[in-house]
Amino acid sequence: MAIAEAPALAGRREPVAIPARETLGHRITRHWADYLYVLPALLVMLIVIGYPLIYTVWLSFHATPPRTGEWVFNGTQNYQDILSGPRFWRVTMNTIYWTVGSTLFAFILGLGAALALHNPFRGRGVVRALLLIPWVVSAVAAAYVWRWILHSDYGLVTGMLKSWGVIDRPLILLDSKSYVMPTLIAVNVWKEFPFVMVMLTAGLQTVPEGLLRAARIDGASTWNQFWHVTVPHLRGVILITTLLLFVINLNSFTLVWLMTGGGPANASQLWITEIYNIAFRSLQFGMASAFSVILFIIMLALGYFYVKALTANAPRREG
Amino acid sequence: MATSRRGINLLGLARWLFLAFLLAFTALPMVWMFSTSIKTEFAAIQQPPVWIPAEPTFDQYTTLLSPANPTGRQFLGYLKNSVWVSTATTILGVLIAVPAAYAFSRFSFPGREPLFFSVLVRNMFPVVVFLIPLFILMKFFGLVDTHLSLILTYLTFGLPLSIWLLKGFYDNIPPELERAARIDGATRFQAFWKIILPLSTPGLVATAIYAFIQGWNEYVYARTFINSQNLMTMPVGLEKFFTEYASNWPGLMAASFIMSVPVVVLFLVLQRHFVRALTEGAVKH
Amino acid sequence: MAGVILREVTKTYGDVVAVDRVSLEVDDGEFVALVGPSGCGKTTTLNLIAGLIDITAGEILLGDRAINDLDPKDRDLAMVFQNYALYPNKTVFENLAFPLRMRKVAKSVLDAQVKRTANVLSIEHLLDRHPRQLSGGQQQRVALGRALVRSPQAFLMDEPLSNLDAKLRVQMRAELKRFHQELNATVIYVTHDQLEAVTMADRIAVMHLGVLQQYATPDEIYNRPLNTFVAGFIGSPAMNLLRGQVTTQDSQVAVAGDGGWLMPLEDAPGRRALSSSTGQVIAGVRHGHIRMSLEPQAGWMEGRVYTVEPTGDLTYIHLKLGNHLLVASNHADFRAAPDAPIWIMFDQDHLHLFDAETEQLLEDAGMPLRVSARREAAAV
Repeated sequence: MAIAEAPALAGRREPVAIPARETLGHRITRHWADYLYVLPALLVMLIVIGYPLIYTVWLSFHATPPRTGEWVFNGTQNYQDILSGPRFWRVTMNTIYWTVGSTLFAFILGLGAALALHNPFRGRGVVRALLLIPWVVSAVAAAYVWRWILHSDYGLVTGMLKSWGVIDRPLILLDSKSYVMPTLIAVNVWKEFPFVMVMLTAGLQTVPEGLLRAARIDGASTWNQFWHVTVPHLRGVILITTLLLFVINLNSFTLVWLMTGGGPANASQLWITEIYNIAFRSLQFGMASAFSVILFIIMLALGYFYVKALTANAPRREG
Repeated sequence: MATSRRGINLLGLARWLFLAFLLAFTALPMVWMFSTSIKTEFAAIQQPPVWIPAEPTFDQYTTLLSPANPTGRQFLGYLKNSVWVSTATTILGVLIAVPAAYAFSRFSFPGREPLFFSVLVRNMFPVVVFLIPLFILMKFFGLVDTHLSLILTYLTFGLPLSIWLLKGFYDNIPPELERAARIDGATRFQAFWKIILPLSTPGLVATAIYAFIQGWNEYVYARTFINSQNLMTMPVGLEKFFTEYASNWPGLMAASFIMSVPVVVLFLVLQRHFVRALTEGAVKH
Repeated sequence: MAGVILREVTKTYGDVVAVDRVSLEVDDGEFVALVGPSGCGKTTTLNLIAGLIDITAGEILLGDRAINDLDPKDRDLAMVFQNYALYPNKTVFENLAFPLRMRKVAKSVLDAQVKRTANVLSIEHLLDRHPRQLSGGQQQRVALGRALVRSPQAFLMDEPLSNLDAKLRVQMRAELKRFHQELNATVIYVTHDQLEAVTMADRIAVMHLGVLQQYATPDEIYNRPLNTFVAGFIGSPAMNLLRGQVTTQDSQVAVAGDGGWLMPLEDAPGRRALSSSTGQVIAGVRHGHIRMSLEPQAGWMEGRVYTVEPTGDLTYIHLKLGNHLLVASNHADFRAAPDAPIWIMFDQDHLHLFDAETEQLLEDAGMPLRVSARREAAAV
């Protein structure tokens, strides 16, 4: 058996020849089997998302008179009509009000719940589970039970306030132009805050206990521990949670649709309900598509930040 | 020292008050839903409102759940449709999400990152944006008024989050396990199938619950794609019920309650898995 | 069992060279340690041998067959991982049985083989447990058992002891060595702990920045490190390395360093120092080869005591020589006050001189010949 020749040494050596980069085609062929794993998912996404997306954009440049069913190319007419329409700014303000209000209050409530449930106590698991219920309940059922609770004549709220002597007339919320938005937001917060709670609870569990202990020893108050240790650690989770919530709210339809249908007098009309009305009530698909595209562009801008936030948080793995 | 101690107690008190408020806020609507559902129509509209009816009745439930009368037949039909659509969505969703998530977690094929994010970006698209073209697409393929149109659509709702959650799960399983398996004589697929898949059961359960609940609760597409009453799912059925029997609040609440119970129970039993998956997948990077 | 041969094995990631033309031969039944700091390419090399990473260039032979392009499952190697990589959802029995099941071994044979392996490692009583119910040491044994249960051509071990506490590590070290000797197994063992390498291996391959620095027996690596990296990496406390200028006065060669110290050299080291290309050398000396005195000694260098560390069987003296901080050792009773003057001299027979620029060992002209003659004799 031969023993290795005089050992190779680091000293002066020619740099190793780095092989020419594999061509993309070659890499793809080498990894062909990997694609089989993702193919079904990509196919479904492509058909059910890729195609409709292109279709919507195309459709948005057409007038689609409902009677004839034909398409007439009309350039940017739909967009001009929407932007100059009397209801556009009204609906936009409602949408902003709805989205920001729901996100903000759901976040505050969810954060409070996550913090209040962070330290263990007897029955914490049960409380946590109970608080999750609104999240799981169907938006349809939620819409109806809240309509019933807020019913101006026979509702629970009116009845309770009346019997306590707070009011002597029916309390009109969903049919009031000024109260309808805050009321809807409150119901939406009821439905959404558990999501924030779950995300932040998960995040809180990852805050290193040692760091908090160190802060305590350094004399930080509860507030300072929270602000200087917990919050920075949760930054990524907070960002993703609020972004997701923002998007969910911007897209949410069912609750508003079934509780007010956008009324009274469009006081709770949102972009989404407006689009639905244009498309499936007035059957103006071209116009609705143009509206969708505008919304989609706004989403894309948000999506950019969303993906950035996700990548900033995601691990990189070699393999 | 004394002040800080009192400060802590005040904080503790505020915490209990806050929790009590939250519990009331979340639970009362559900309690009221049930309370109404066991009242007579007359008792339901009586003022001042009563939490526990003097003469509770389960008439609404027997009506809804009995195939002997038309309302019951309809309602049971909605229920059956919902179970079928949700189950099919769940099974298909898991079957598709698992290999995709695994590949995104472990393999390094070209285009992996863009493809992964293109899947995720689906979360950003407003539901209604797809409603119109999908409706036209489904019409083109003759799928309007079929359950398949709903199953296909629900798949795409569920997939992004499912893939994301599962990928996070796989990211946290040490790759040495597959390496060990491959050295022990397994192919790449065997290593995945025999070692990794069983380990990701909590993630699978979470994904499945998520997909099921999504399918169970979805309203917009179900309302738009389905016209025939015998194909409608629960959420649309509920709306139909509401428009037809507008003043029958106990009946509506009973139907809502029946609709909510399966997912709430399912979720409460399995929420540990769900929260864990979220922790592993979404947070612990 | 079979030997393993690496020929110019290279792995690049884009422009990053992780393993740079590593060649080494592991004889049948030999225990070789791949050692180096983290990121030196030792684990990548092991994964290349295992087939877990695709090789960029070069060749790997197991026995006399090339295994470069084989799937890991077809290479017939066993591997023990740092984190043990026990299958968490399988019992110990199933963990041990897995390699056999993958090879479709008959049930009766499988049972017997698992039992035998468990017996060898004294883990029969653990067969029904799951990995999470085991202590670190027990998990380690199971991981070893999974490698042992079939008879692979060679064992690959990736820092298998580094997750154990210090006491258990010493014990398992002895067991691993014993097991290697009994089975006459070919083992390639990756570690960052030079002590593990020195105590267990027949030969050590020191790696740094993807390049094999030296491949030799522990004795030779310890006594004749070929460059300053190996000199500084192997041995604890690390070898003292002092940079200085080679001077000649009245045909007396000496090394002069920062802070005014001057070390006269005897003939042989003097000749070696003069062969330095730049007139600068790095002098290396191990702690045990520094003579010291608290009284002035003619021709010795004067330093100052920095601190004294009694360890029981030896006392380490940290001392300042010019701008250098050195570690020397003395008998257990040696004591000195901090900042006391101390006179030291390096044992010239154990003085290592390196070229200051290339950092390679400077040797007598005749020396390499003699060494290679000895090696060839050994090879016959």
